[in-house]
Amino acid sequence: MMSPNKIKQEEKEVLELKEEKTITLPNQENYFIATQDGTYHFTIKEKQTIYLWSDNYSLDLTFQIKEKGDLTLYFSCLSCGNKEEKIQIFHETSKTTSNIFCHGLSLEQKLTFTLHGTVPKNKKGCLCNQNSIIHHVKQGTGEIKPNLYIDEYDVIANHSAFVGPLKKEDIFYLNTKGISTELATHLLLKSFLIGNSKDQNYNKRIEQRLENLKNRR
Amino acid sequence: MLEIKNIFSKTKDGKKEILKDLSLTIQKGEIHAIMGPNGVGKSTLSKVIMGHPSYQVTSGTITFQGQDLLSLSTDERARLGIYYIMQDPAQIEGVTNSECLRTALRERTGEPVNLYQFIKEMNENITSLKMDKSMIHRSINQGFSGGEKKKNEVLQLKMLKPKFILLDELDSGLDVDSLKIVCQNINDYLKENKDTSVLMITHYSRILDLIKPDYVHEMLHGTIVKTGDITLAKEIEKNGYLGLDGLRENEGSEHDESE
Ligand SMILES: Nc1ncnc2c1ncn2[C@@H]1O[C@H](COP(=O)(O)OP(=O)(O)OP(=O)(O)O)[C@@H](O)[C@H]1O
Ligand SMILES: [Mg+2]
Repeated sequence: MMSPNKIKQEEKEVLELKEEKTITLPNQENYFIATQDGTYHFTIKEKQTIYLWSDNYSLDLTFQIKEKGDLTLYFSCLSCGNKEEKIQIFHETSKTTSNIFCHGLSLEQKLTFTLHGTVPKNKKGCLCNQNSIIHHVKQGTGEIKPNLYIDEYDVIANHSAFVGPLKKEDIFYLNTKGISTELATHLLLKSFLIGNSKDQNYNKRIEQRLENLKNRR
Repeated sequence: MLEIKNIFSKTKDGKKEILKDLSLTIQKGEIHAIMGPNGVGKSTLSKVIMGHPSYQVTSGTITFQGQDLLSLSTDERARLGIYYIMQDPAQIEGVTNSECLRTALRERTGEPVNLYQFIKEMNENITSLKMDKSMIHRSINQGFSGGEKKKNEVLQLKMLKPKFILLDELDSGLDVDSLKIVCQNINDYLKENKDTSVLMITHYSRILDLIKPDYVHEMLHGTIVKTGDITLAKEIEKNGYLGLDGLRENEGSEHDESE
């Protein structure tokens, strides 16, 4: 049986996004779960990481990056209807950084990611990266609208976007190990939505959701 | 054990016929090797055996222990005990080796995996493959070198205990020492599991000196054109493929003119 000296993973508090408001981040690493549609403002003044899970809500998120702001955002969502997730990044100070990873799973109708990255003139040496993937299963579809408004030469800005089903080759690989397509899909989606999050409560919420989906299928 | 009879296979879109009337029978405990030039359909044959979605079988049969394989899904074939190491194994972000293996084992037995036993066995195999222990918790093949990927696939082989092993260019990406270690591990496995059969695809007889085949087949234009023993492999290595000589003859070589 399991040896008793198993390392207990640190559990942080998962905050709920409830009312429309301006949010100041309490930690270097912050976990949020959306519980309703809404508009939220974040101000980032130091190096901070945000994990945000949205289960079938449309969110309008704005991040102002100031001072020594260096944001890494892992946004994951699941949608079963027409949903739009809007994420706007404003670099308000020189040498600020934003790295945005948006992973969406679209189950029914259309999931849209609208992403804005803005670097105004004279805000030098900023880094503004966006990386988005929407996987669709069943009848779901997806669209990614990336927009970079860069009015300054001295900036590194990138975006990559992919909309499509899970990779056939990945499923086939897991199939060759004797794992059914259903379970393979579950494993791949779990890693897609949880990513490198280390928070057990946060991860459990996503796992539970996928577990329910699996049982329903 | 594995019986392939008059298989014809096309790509899913039907545009390209790759396997043409290929037959091959492999008995319990036998080791077979297939050699052939690039693009003749060797990897396609292995994928067709596994039921890869990019290919359709238009006629012919494949049975495994008397059971029709073509009507089964890939995972069902794997659970019958067929283990396939691809020419270029996939890398899967976020799914760890340990998670994949425990899921695969659970799918086979229907019971939860005994963790203590699992870790013990993993560690033994990792040691005998001279791998780094940390890789248990790493994503499957993510950031692995070509050789590390192949070792990782052999590690999984030893954990999943197949009855039939399908190796597509196991030797590619492995340096001389790693190839020896990997082949030693496979030979040890075969010694303990005498009924296990092997079909390996290769371009070089080097691996055939390490895992000794009972039969060597030469493949050309989607079918097997010649069967022999290890001397056929040596011959191919020395003189090139029969088909290439044939091509030269067709193009009107000196040999042709003298006749
Ligand atoms: N999905 C596919 N769609 C179109 N053509 C394909 C597909 N798969 C294979 N082919 C073609 O079929 C032929 C056989 O390919 P295959 O990969 O089986 O060759 P191989 O014998 O394994 O070659 P190598 O020694 O280079 O690995 C090639 O010409 C290849 O381009
Ligand atoms: Mg090949």
